[in-house]
Amino acid sequence: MSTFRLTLFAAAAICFAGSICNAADPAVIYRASGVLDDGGNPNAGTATVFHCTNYGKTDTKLRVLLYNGTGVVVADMSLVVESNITRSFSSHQTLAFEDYVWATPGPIKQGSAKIMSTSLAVVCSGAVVPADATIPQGTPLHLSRFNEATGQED
Amino acid sequence: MSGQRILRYALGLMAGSLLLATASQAATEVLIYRVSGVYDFSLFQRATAVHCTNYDSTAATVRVKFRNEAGMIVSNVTASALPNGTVTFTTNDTEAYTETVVAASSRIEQGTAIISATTRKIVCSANGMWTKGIYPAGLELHMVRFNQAAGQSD
Repeated sequence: MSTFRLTLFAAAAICFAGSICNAADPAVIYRASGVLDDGGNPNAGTATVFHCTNYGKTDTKLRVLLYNGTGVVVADMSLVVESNITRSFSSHQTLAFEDYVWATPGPIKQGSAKIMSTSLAVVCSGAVVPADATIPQGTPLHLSRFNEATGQED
Repeated sequence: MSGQRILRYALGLMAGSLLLATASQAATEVLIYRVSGVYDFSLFQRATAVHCTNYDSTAATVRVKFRNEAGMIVSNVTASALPNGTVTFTTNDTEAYTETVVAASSRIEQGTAIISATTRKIVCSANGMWTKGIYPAGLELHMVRFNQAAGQSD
């Protein structure tokens, strides 16, 4: 068997045995540092909100993980988002946004977020916001993109 | 072993050590971000915060240097970030964040921050802010990325 054939066979075997070739596996699309939550009540205090839009033609499964300062996952939010639909994920409920999914992780003073998706055709924004404000205001977070979609430049 | 050979051996060892030291230093810290627009004035409750998350599998050292409007380094601080952990540097104490390091920077009117780390698997955000209140009111600073990790596009 030639080396080339052997390589192809090995790659196929990995695809079959593992999950790295499964298109439905979520890939990391963003990481963000500076997540903040004061652990306050719904619509009070300080929260962090992420908005994600699926611009693909099919549904995608989005997953937002929030970490505290020591690297422990304190919130794990998932949602299926349809084509051209935007959904908001928040660390706790806010007045300004229609939080589709929210967590109650308690205080996060030095946190981060990892956003994963089964499709790369997703764009997101994120900000630390006053949860009691009716007009959206806040300090945007720098979102580092991973695994860009074709033609995309974050 | 003759005296000359011992001397040669010793010189060889010294040269080897120097090479190793240089290589390990080069691998130790790499430039990750440059940020413009840093400001700090404790009298008017103004500060700049830098948040960095290490998504590597081992702990990493993160270094932040703040330069003032004259280009002088007014603060040079480090912190160790755990895997998936976040460290927060501020130019003076803030109520919203629990800082890992509060840098004693004195006043910065038009400054910059240089962020380096012992791994490329670091993402950061930075914001100029008011130091009072549980919500960090202020502005996001633009992060210019250097030495991206694999798959990343800031």
